[in-house]
Amino acid sequence: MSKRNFTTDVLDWEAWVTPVDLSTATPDQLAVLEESGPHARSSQYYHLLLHDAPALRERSALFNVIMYGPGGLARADRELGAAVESIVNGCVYCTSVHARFYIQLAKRPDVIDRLFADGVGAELEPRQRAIADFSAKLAQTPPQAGAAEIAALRNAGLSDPDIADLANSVAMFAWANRLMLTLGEPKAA
Amino acid sequence: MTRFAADVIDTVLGIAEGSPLDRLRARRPEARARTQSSYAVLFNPPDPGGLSPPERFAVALRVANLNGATKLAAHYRARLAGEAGGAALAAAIEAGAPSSAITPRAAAMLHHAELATTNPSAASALDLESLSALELTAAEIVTLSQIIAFVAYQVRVAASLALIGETP
Repeated sequence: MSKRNFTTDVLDWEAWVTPVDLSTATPDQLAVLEESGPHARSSQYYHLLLHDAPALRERSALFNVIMYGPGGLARADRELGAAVESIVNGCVYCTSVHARFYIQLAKRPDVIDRLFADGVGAELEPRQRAIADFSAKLAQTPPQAGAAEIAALRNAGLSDPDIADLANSVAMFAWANRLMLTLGEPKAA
Repeated sequence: MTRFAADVIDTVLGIAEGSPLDRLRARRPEARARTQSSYAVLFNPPDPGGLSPPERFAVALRVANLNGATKLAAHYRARLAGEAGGAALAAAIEAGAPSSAITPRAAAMLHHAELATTNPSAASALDLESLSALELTAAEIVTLSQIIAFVAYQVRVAASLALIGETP
């Protein structure tokens, strides 16, 4: 992985093709924007994805249940998986958001500092190490996660439903990273 | 539609009702349902617009193959083969050589799929300009990108479930 300027600063994102103009959006497009969450109305990323409103509607609902659904794996751990996936793919924007969420939830800025300084192989405590290993290997193309990573997660105390929650988060960011990286670029807020 | 109403991940992994993986997926019913409905809006859209069903399946087949996802690749190959000219297109894609079965427009989409799948951070505005030059609209570019990115998600969900099921 090449060196990138990962940050937890708040960034903006700019589309490379013309987003939907909200003043001419259909009622259904506006409804999908509302359903997508509180930040969608002011986000060029969401305005762009409104070009395919049915796809965005399903994706937003899926994103919200995977990242915020109650029970199961702690939200902080889902954010850590999302951040690691985003570092592997070099998605500076996604990394900034989800590293920030991880720090807010886990109160562990040191974990993010290490990942930014030393990469996804950074020295971490066993639980975070197991999560980062699985997430980084699942992020590869083709995915490289195997029985050893599953065993490490189980040894760190994750149940199979926890592992499935982590996998969903990493997989969701395989999706999100690709939209963010191939349809536009981050810029300073 | 009816033929593909069954959950695709359950079908390709052979997850039987009441099995451990079925019970695992049942703990997140909304995630399971929205994964399937995301598939449905991208691959059985009521209005496919300018992105034809063969183009959609062709891109998905390429992404599945780049991910070594043989079972999902078989699914998309079968769906592509169900379209007019689809079997020849699938064969041409998987042969990996230039072919008259692949239009310049489809070739550009497949090239973009490869970039977004294997090295997404190398993408630039120029890559979208080359799609626009082949008269893909902004809406078609968004749908193409959603298909590429959805399959990246789908192969990882399927791979993880298989791994959990196989690891004693």
